[in-house]
Amino acid sequence: MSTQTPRTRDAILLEGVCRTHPGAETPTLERLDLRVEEGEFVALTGESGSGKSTIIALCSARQQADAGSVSILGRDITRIGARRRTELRRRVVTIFQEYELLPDRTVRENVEFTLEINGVAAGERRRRVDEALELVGLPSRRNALPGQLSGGEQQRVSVARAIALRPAIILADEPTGNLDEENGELIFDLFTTLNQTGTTVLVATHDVNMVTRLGLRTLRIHEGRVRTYRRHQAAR
Amino acid sequence: MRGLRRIWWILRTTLRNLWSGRVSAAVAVGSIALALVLTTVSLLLGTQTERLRDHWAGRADITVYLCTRASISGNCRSTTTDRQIRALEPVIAAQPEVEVYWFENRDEAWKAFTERFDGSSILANLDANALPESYRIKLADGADRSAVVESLTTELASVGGFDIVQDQRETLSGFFSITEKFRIGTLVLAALQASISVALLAHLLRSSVAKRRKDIRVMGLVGTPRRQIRAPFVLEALSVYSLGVVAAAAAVVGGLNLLRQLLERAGGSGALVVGTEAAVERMLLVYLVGLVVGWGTVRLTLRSRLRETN
Repeated sequence: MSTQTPRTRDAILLEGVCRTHPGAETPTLERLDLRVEEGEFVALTGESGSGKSTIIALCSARQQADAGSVSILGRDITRIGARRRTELRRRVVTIFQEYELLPDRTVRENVEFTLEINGVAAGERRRRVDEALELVGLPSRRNALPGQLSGGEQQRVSVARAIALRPAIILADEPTGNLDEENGELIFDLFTTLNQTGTTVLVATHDVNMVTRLGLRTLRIHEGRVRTYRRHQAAR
Repeated sequence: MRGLRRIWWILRTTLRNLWSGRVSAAVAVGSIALALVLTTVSLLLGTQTERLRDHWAGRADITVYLCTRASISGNCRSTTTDRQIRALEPVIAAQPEVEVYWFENRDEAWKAFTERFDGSSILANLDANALPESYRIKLADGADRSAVVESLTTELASVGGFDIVQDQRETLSGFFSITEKFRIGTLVLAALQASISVALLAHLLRSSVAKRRKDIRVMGLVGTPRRQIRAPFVLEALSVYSLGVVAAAAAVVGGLNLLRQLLERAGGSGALVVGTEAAVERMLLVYLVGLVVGWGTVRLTLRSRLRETN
């Protein structure tokens, strides 16, 4: 008699993915394989131009692979149509280095906006906004405009916006690129908290120290391929 | 419920877009209204010309007016007698280019006159005796009217009893050539104005998209359907066009009414002006064509401006 461990579903699965940007002579990704299970928190590291951002873009269907396959939450999205792309992006939210906040709207309105356009009822919206702002530690800044916030606070608003949508996967492309160390730590701690509630997190980052501190599974991308895989020991 | 809330969001966003670009929207509404008015007017001018031609000339190309006591031409010595009326008829009938002719007596002439000038003060100063009897002649297509007038004038002179042979079309041709030139000029202006309106509508949409570029990007990132992203802009264009249509319709109907009133005040007949029903028919046609042109403008503009939402 043998015991079987229940198999975890893949949240993100890239197999033999090739991608060359238009006009580029060399491929950005070359037969890349990558697998992230549901509920994992994985970091992609590597120097600039190694292909980290391209992987994030492929996972959110902002770019398409030239060859190979990309599956998200068990669905092949390699050649995805507009309708399925829309459905995918309701479950997979991307956070960028540039925050992508609406400058003429308050913190509360920024977080509420994506719920409003998705037809979430007013009461439910208020509840989710309050929860998300509480989680990122910004309830007192709810009426401030993005221009009145520090870079770290703005990034926390963009995380709050993602949290309010309750996605299955959060993709983050250099989310701490514009932040100092202290604010960077705050953002990664937020991701850890989200991951502990079951959200899969894939972060592309330069910040190896942060990755080491949190003991994340790390995939180092070099010249379009996963070169090394390591799980750091948490520093605390 | 989610669908209804999305529709509500689309409507609010449309209103917000219109309000934030209210100056551009007002200019576009004015321009569209002007283009629609000019196009409608150029079509109505054609109808109006035909109406006036029929009104003044009746169905006849040539009229042989008979003598009354008031006739002053050298052809008339007294009122045309019944014998002369009978004698004139075979001369007219013998003309090879005459398709049809009929005699219009004083009562018939008065009836036609009162219909044409219904409501006019001119009727108060006249009666049936003031109007001449006449032979009305319709020529075959392609007939040389001036040759027939000349031939009839010569041949009828031997019978006598007629005042003048008048080419109805020639009498009015000077006036109608002016209205035709005016109509073509209006049509050219309408085409120019329509081009300006298309450019203004496209500019209005481009500005709205530019103002909401960040919103659009965020919407694309969180899976908002493309239809929902586009809807406020489409509705914005539709609202501007509809306001233009309302303004144009009010201007055309109001303008026609004003023209009728001015004519009647001047002693003419308001019935001379093209009817509201005919105006509405032309307006509907023009507005439908405008809608198709506007729709094409919206599609092309949004296709190029919202590409990044893919």
